[in-house]
Amino acid sequence: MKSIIALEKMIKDLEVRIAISKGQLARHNSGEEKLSLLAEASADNSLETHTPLLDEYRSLMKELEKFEKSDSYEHRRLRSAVERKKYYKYNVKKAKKQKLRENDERIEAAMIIDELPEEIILDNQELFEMSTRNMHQYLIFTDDSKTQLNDIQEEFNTLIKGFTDENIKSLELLNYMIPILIFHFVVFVQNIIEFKNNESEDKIIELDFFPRYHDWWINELWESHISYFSLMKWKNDVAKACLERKQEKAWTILFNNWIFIKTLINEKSELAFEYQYIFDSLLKKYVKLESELDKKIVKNSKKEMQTYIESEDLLSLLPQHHVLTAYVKYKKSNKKNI
Amino acid sequence: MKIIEELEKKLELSVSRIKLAKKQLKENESGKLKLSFMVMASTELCIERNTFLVNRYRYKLKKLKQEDLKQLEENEKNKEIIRENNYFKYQSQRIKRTRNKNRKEIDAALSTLKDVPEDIRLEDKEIFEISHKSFTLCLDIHSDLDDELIEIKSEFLSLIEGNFNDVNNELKLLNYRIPIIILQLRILLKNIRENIKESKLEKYKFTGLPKFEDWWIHELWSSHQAYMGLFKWKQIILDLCISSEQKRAFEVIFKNWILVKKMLNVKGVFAYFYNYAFDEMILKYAELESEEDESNLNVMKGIVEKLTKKENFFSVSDTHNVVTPYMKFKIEKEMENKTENKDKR
Repeated sequence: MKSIIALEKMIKDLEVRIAISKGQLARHNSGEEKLSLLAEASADNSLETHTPLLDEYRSLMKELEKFEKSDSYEHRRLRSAVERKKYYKYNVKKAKKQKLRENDERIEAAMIIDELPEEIILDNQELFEMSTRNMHQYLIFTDDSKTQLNDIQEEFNTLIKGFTDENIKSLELLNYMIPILIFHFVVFVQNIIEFKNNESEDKIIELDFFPRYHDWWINELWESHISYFSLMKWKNDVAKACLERKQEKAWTILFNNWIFIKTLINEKSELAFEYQYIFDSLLKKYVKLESELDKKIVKNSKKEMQTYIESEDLLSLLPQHHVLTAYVKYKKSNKKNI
Repeated sequence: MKIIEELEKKLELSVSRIKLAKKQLKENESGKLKLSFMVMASTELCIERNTFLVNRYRYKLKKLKQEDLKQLEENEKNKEIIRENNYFKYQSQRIKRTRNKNRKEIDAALSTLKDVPEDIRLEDKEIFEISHKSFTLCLDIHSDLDDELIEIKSEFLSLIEGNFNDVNNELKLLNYRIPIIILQLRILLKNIRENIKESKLEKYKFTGLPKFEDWWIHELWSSHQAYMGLFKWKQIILDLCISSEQKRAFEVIFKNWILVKKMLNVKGVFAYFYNYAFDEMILKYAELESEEDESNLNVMKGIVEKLTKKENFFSVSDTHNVVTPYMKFKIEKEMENKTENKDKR
């Protein structure tokens, strides 16, 4: 019942109005802030009309709640849609300062739908199995892997608990994906350390494996070509540092998942800064994957990238390149079968 | 009521009889009138009798009048119930005819009327107030979208059902993402068409979205040509958007779409069924199709090659800034953490 949400908002609005009038009158009576005769009368009048109205709305709410709980799944989604849209609008206005057409409301509403509460319920065991089965082909998991994932998940959940209202509390899907990805990163780096330790006699425990990435690459991916080339070069640099084919393959998956999560969070801009920071901090803590924060270095690297692009063969393709990919062939044969 | 009138007449009669009899007795006492013994006795008897009658009549009248009042109340109540029932029975008709409200306000009120359970009776005024709030909060839009999402999701889930195994189980996490992307693109297309119709941009022909090519996704992050193909394809669609709001929406949809497509591509053959279901659904609901004809694919490859040669790869977006707002936020956070750590020490 959508009306519950409307009524709820009407009650809140009235409460605010009444509180303002009461505050004004209280300050007036204490002499703290003198109201003009007219203003005083208007505050009085406001109290007189709004108080019974508030009672009326409240009792109506009680009636409605007999039919449907106000914290049902539908209501939670609606309430959150209203809240999120306020911020979406605010961001758009800040960016463009233009009036929206009325039917753009629908687009706006559609664009925040991924921020609404979802009921994804996975237990730890399920999550663990999901996260290891596919990666088993490329990475070696140890006996304490499961504890590792649990610990990471718990740490992540504790960190996102303290968010204030303006923040995106959860991008439900990401709440599951992030701990898995961090866990994969941990196993990946452990595998490389293990490999190195097997080959040489100087045992290492920690490894600075990743070069620093730059935030603007993600921010402008698909807008400025340099960001694509930078990310690609960064990805290739890491791939080159891998010690065997399997690790390279694992890195490809990690890279794609990492970009996936970074882009999704980044799209939510300042609403999700805290969220993104937690994600970044955990990767920094566990595998020393971090972004460059020195503005000078960031600016200079852009020039280096230009030289890199000039040296690249832009028309080269994969050795096994074919415009008809294996998947398209599958698709075509599937259609024929239907 | 007749019976009351009759009783009142009788009462009046008895009262006047008593009055007359009392007067006669008084005059007899004062000597003004001499009554015979018999007459006197009969006069006394008359008083006695009529006094008795008066009391009786009065009592009866009192009772009768009380009942009558109850009856009246009852009648009034019934009338009120009928009035009330009619008020709610004809509420929707009445709302439709409300004079000082426009079409949209009336439609919104009718939708609220439908939304609230029948047992809850709201006055017209309350309905208009709630529907106005619902309208400003776009509750109808949100709840319609949710319904659409549920529909798309259940269709998608039914397509992929039964194809999961140990290796691809993890794809299930995307079950939540894909229906949203399909819905968003669907709404965007609808919006573009509505805008064209509304602003009478007849000369602006919108024939749908250009086809995408799977090898662009397959070779993204390996061949620059694949990136260029996708980049140009995205630019073409952006040019089809009319408002900046639509452009903004497509940027987001595109990113989400490519992220999921690439993820599925990396999973390779284990995700074919899943990728296929995604493609089929986005084709059905949002008219987005892939190019599968080899000669067309080759023609397009030639076009992208030519475009690559012309492209300025050093150009950056209008809003380009290497120091992003998030980077600034991060630097501040790091500083905060450092001072916190110092304080602890």
